Amino acid sequence: MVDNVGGSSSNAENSGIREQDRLLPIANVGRIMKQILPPNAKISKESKETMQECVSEFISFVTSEASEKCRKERRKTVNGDDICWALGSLGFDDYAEPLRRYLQRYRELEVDRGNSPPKRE
Amino acid sequence: MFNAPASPCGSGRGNHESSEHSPRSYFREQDCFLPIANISCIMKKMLPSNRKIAKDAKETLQECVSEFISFVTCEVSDKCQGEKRKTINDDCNRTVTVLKKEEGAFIMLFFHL
Repeated sequence: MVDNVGGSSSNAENSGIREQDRLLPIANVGRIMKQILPPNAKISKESKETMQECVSEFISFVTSEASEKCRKERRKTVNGDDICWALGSLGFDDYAEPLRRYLQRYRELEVDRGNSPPKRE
Repeated sequence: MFNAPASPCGSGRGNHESSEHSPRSYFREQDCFLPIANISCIMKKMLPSNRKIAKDAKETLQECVSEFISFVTCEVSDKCQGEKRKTINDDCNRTVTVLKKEEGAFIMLFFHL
């Protein structure tokens, strides 16, 4: 089944940043930033916007690397293992190993609930 | 929906796919993650039209970007505290520059900014 994700509405204001870099809601970005900071810390709007842009770039970067791996292996579906591999390949080793463990645990729980693991094509 | 329906958080955008069948339903997704629909949309822009994205790929990256945001924010916060300041401002850009110099992957990552 092909996922059909509708286009997300974006903020009308455009201060020179590409619209596609604003695809992630700034409120969510700000909330995640806030969780790591002391209670009295404040986050400027500019910082949130910069983080929005960085995260979009990060997603594109990792996805592109994973997609290239799929192309070489003649597979049509990018899966979680491809993402973990891409993170390692791009130098984000600190991310890759915890996420592999996460994926393993994720699949164990899926099986326990009677769902089949994600299929490889 | 497994999670509490009433959310004090402002952003209701983005649908959470099958959250009631996911081990991650124990998190309040709106607090911990960015909406998976938005992440999926960005991912698709990087893929050929015939390429598909498995659900676990989306959720893996969803988890990863939250960690990424926390990591960068933490670096910036340390700098602010060193300077006795409470507001994170241009330091976000400066941290990005520092990260560029510290790791090759980050250089590639932020090359187009």
